[in-house]
Amino acid sequence: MKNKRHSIKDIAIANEVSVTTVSFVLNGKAEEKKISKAVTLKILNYVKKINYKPNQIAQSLRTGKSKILVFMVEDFYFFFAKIASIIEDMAFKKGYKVLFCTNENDDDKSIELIDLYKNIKVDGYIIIPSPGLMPKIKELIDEEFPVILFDRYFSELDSNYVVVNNRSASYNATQHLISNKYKNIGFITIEMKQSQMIDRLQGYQEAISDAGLKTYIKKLPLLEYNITNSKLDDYVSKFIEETPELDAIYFSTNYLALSGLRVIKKNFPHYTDKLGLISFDDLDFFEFYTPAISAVSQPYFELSKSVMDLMFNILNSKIKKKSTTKIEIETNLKIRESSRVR
Amino acid sequence: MKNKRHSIKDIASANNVSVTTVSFVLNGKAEEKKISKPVTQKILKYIEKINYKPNQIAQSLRTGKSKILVFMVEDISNYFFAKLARIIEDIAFEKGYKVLFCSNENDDAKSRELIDLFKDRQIDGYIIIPSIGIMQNIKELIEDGIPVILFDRYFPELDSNYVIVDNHKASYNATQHLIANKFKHIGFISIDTGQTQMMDRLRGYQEGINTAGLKEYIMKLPLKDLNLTSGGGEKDIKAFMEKNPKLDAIFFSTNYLALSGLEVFKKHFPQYINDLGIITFDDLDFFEIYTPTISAVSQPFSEIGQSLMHLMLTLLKENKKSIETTKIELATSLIIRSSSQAK
Repeated sequence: MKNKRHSIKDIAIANEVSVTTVSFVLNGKAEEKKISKAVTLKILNYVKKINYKPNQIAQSLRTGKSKILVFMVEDFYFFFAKIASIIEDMAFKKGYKVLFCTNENDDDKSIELIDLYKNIKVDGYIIIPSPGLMPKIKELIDEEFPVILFDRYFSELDSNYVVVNNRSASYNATQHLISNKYKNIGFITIEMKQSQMIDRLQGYQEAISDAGLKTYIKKLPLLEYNITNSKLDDYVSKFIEETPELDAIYFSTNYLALSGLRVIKKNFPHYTDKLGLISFDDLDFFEFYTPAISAVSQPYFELSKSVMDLMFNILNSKIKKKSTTKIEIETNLKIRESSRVR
Repeated sequence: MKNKRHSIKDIASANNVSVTTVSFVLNGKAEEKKISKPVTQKILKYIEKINYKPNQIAQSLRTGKSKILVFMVEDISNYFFAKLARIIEDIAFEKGYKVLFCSNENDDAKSRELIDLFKDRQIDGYIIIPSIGIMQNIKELIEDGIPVILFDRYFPELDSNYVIVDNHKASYNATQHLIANKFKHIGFISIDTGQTQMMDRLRGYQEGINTAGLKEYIMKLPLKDLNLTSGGGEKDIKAFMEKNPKLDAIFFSTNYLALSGLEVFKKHFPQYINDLGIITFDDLDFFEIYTPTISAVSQPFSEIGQSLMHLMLTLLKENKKSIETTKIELATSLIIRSSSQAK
């Protein structure tokens, strides 16, 4: 017989008994609940015949443990994808599965997804929060679900998080360009009021101001934020064209740097040897591009490990309830050809 | 009061009534089941106080519909997948479905554990990039009457829905393009796997080479040497290049092998980057900005995503095991850039 989805109700109807009776039998409580031997046997034979498998959701409803973790990311490009892959591996070794979903930095989507996960009873949440998600995150925390924010956080919310030292890393990257004699350093970023982007911008501004230089900031509209959107290239191209005095560009993310490389190759080939370039977030291929691109590298493994160690400590109650852990990991500045002294 | 996870059992014991009574009240059957008004009121007040929300799993157990789709991929960090995920997600969301993603790392045991986990959660439909040994599990899912679409590769022995690309033909054309540009010693660097997509790419190459009366140079990298996330296999590629100094062109069967190859060339044979003809299956943004720009067989992301979701939504609407399976093969395009020009 086919292994269809049989509900307890189906079993009850087929055997002309109540749902409660079936439930008692399936949970080994037939004797205790004084269900007759004949009925018990009839039901057990039937579930065997139809190849009924006790439903693990129902079980997890009882035990409250599903051994499932959720990793909600903004998208699956580059950085998040790498972290996702490492987290998956670490979780699997501890007997946990990880489900992934993308919120595209959209609050409504994030909320719907969190509600869905609450319903399928996941054990813990690792979330890259969209900008307006703070109330929902607070709700999860109040309900005592293990929650770790990643990559960005809400300064007004006391929560667990794992982030990198965006501000000092950005300061150092800018200083590196300054010490290599660049004078007019542009900063291309995304119009986004989230902690990681604000910190990168601040790091740049502080370094520029400490050196007594002038800031050149281009914030691309968030609406156009889409890695595969060619409009990105148009904005970057326009900025370079309108700011001919630039001798270096610092990109606040790797996909902006990719856009920059595309634009320079296509529209400003003569800039390739003149313009200092540096990117936040490394990419495999920056290393073997010509020129190799300098980058602030986020340590994938260390970040993933911090997240998972913290998650397992929470899950295994090794951390006091209601205490929060905030972790900031150091990045590495990878100095390559693109930011050399000209 | 905190909105903790309250079970029906908690509610029952807090109110000194049976679980069955609580269940009747919560399901609006108090009157029908002759539960007294005071008891009904007491329970309703209590659940309001504790902010109890009826459990949607329990509801989906009843209706059998979760509005959740699963997309199981080989590697969550593959760039190809990242693009596709976005397209699928957008279409699903528009139609009121959520998509959960998981990755099987091409491992059968992992695939099975994940499928079992989802079976218990009443998933409405599956899109699966299958690992090599899970045909039986896929067959069971299909027999359970759950919509399943295989993607990227399939099992020739299993009648199932699938969406793939024209691997064989695309690979033949890519090889022919190199031959037409006067390359004579064309190497093919691939993975040692019996999966249909890789077999078809290999066959396409072999037919292209044989038709032209040329010699085959094939390197199959053992899977264990590869790391899907960061390529890998550099040692094997280096050894292959050293062993076959006559090679004047290389065709990589996937983009991550091409990345590994470019890294090897840059490090050990810098002259090869410009001297060799280079082409790869699967395009990458970065191939367009590399010097030289790298020619590639490009898979139509948008069309693939739309085909998958269109088929999935049709299967979901039919709401029963459809007898006819749908097999879709989409055309790729050969993007000719500088790396494969006649030297």
